[in-house]
Amino acid sequence: MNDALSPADERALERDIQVALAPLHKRCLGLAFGVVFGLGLFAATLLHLWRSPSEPYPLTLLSQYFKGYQVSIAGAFVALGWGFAAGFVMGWIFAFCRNVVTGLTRFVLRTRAELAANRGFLDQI
Amino acid sequence: MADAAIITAEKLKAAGVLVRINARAWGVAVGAVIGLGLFVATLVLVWKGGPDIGQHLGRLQFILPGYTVSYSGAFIGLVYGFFIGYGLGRFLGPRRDVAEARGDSGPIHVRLSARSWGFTIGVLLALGLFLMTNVLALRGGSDAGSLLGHLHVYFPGYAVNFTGSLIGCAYMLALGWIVGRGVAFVYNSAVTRAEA
Repeated sequence: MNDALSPADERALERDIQVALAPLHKRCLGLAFGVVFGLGLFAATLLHLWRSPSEPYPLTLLSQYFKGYQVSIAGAFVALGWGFAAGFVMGWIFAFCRNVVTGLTRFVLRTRAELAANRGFLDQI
Repeated sequence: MADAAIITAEKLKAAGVLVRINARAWGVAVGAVIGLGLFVATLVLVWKGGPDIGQHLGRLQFILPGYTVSYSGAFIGLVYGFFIGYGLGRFLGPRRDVAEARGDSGPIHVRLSARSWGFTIGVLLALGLFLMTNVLALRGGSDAGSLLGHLHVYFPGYAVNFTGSLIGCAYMLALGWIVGRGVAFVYNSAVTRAEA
């Protein structure tokens, strides 16, 4: 098929394959999720303190999961740390799972293509 | 003429396969994160114990039939979370400009399109809040949406009714846009540094 494609078409097809099968960088996605999640919890805590200082519910429920967390200025920094850690793990797992599926798919496609290419040889023996 | 038609058909077929691969991969990834997240969140509460275990997380049973804060509920939550996440993840995958590969040499890692991530996460969050709010409002009762109603602290004007759901949608769209662009920006910057 590729013999009949123009160079531009070949480049476009190659780019499509790269986009679909290139891996995500696990550590970088963990970092991205961690930064955004941590900053989000930090901002939510401060916003809660500003808008509803006398009523910590329901944000205070986070203390069930994040040890040391409370709806206070100090708690906002605790949330920043815990949020970063939780977000990092989520991002890492996200990238890992995505890479596993694309890696397995690449392996299956390559194996099928190799078997198809060798079919003529196998028919002769 | 016939050759051109065959080539076009082959290209479309290849593009379709790639779209399906990409969508499936993103679906599994989001499903795993949401499923495992709910699984761990449930188990933590079970292990901690207490007199009124899972008073708040247990409310998920209104949306996820069969879910409880227990060992068996953790596995039910894992399955629910995976399938819901899989469905959501497929929204992230199919569009070509969600992810871009770059570089002609060395290790190539996917880049995230900030525009698509911002838009997709914003729409998903907005739709999620819209549906949850209206389901709770339609169910009625004396304390309909008592927990979700606290969102008015962060989103002034939000309430558990139809008008409130529209206001919440606008806020969530904006929040999701910021979150999506933030994730893409940090990720792309970090990958560029890591590959340098």
